[in-house]
Amino acid sequence: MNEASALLDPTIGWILLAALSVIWVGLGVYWGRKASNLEGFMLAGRNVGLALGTATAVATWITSNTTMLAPQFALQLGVWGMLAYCTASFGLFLFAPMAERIRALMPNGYTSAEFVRLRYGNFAWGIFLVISLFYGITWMISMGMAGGILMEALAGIPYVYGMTTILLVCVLYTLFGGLFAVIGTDFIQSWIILVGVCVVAIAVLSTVSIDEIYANLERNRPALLDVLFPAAIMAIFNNMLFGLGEIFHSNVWWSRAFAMREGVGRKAYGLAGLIWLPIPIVAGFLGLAAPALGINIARPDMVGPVVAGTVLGTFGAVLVFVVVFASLASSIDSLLAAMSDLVLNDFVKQMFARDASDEQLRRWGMAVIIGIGLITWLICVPRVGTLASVLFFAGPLVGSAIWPIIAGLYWQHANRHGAVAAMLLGSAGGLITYFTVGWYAASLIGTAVSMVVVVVTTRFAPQSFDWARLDAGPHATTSEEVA
Amino acid sequence: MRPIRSGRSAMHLAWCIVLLGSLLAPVAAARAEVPTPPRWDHDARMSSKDGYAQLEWIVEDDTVHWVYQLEEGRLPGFEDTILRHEGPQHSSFVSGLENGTSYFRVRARHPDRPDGWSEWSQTLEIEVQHYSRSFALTLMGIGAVVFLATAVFLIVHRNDPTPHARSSR
Repeated sequence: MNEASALLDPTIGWILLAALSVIWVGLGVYWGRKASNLEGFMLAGRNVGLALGTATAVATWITSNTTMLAPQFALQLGVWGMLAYCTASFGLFLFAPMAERIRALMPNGYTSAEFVRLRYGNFAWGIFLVISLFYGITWMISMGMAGGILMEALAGIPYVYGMTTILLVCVLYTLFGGLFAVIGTDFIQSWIILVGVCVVAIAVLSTVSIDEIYANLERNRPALLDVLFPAAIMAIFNNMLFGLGEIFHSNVWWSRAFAMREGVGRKAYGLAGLIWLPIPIVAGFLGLAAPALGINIARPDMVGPVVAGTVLGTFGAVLVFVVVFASLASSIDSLLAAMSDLVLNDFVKQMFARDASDEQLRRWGMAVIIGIGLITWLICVPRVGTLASVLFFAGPLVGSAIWPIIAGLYWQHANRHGAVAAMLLGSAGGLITYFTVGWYAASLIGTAVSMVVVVVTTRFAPQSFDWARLDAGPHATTSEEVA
Repeated sequence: MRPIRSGRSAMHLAWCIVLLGSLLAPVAAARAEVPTPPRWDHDARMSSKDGYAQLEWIVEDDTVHWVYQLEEGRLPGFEDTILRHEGPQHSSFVSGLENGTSYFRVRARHPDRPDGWSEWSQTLEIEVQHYSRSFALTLMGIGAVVFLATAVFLIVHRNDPTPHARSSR
């Protein structure tokens, strides 16, 4: 893609970019006034209700990856690819009961890493922190890159300018408003995304019929309709487990579980899964329709925006611009907030600022948000690989954290050394698979290895755990220290 | 007389040269606007295990927004071709390829000269050999077992009584 083939006039692109930036930063400042103390800034006062809770889960899970990667999946792996992507909603369904238990076990908790530290000890905590931060950064990079690529493709705005603007906007409003701003903007962004995706899908369906799409695929890209397409059938459960790993371990979801009112988490995550489920199917459909529409796809991760822009013209391009900006912002802000909580609570507070006041910690939190934004920007500038290749590299790592997390939450006798071994061996096995087979089997193997290790070590070397330790405050001793 | 005649001849000759030059100039200019054949920006032999590939090509003179035509053939001689792309983009993502070899070639023309196509590029060969179905089904089976184990675990434990942290001390 270059300026010559952009779908929008660059001037319109710059105006849109400026308008959206002002709106989100303005809303961030407005909602930020509610965050009067550290708990308000980090966890929105632990008082988020069902509507906002559901909307923030939906908006956060509809990332640029949903609107841009789901069509790419369909284009690469066909019908199964499209369905494989929507299985990520199972993560939300299965996290629903976990959210309730997390809140009940740790009513004063802040982060997922804090749980791992108290449940399994410092060594497991260190490994988990590496996995979680690595995943968070790769997710941020994939979205920063998506923003730059999208703006370049749609409006001819140079990649670096587009990417820099979206990162800067998200850093600014998260900085001003903390989780209050993140959840508030998520609510608006989720509506924009849902309406936008539906409009584009209806427009595509009125341009080309399902029969034409099917006939074209059968004639020109027959493998995409193959029920036993090898890479696609491997991807189904791989993607499902990747989604589970992302949600189960990530502080993005734990911080929302802590932030929701008692009794809200289970319903909010269940509803969010239902609302999210059809989105990748609608978005993925654009990828399958592209060949029938005679559209050349220069880069696979741009298939969704290019199809929308081609079918709906300038209006479509504007719509896609707004929708993807909203989906990017809704996820980048959540990640910034969750990662800064993680670094602040589990690193800064533990290492440097044990006795710091709320005000000092809030300043630390702001510095951490700026630091994470800066690191992401530096890595995004050279534009490393495609969106999928960047994100899926983290797949085996997060897959390996699934079983240590769920066993730690529900099994009183889960072995802490087993949890460490599960994360290490699962990650190693998954990464070897990533390089020898491909991304579509890496999370699957990572999770499988981890599950076997956790089950075997708990069965043959059970260790007792006192649940009370999970609610013993931020400076509580770990099970390791007690032992 | 002779000098006069020879002067006229020279003048006629000069006019002929000018006339010929003016007639041939557009032809020469048009020739100059026919680009050299594009060349692949990667190896001309590729392999794929998932039936897709990213194709990219370049033309030496990048000051013009050339129009490209990308063709796919099932046979190396391109007897049976599919037009995959015609437009200004110098890359294309192809997917849904079945087992076997697919052949691709690309050519370019100036945007204002519909018939001024360059020669075809070197032929690109993509050898597609998908993973075996038994291997894929095995991995799918492992994935199904792991997912079901995780889901069943959470469903079974979904209503576990939460230990009351404070009271258990």
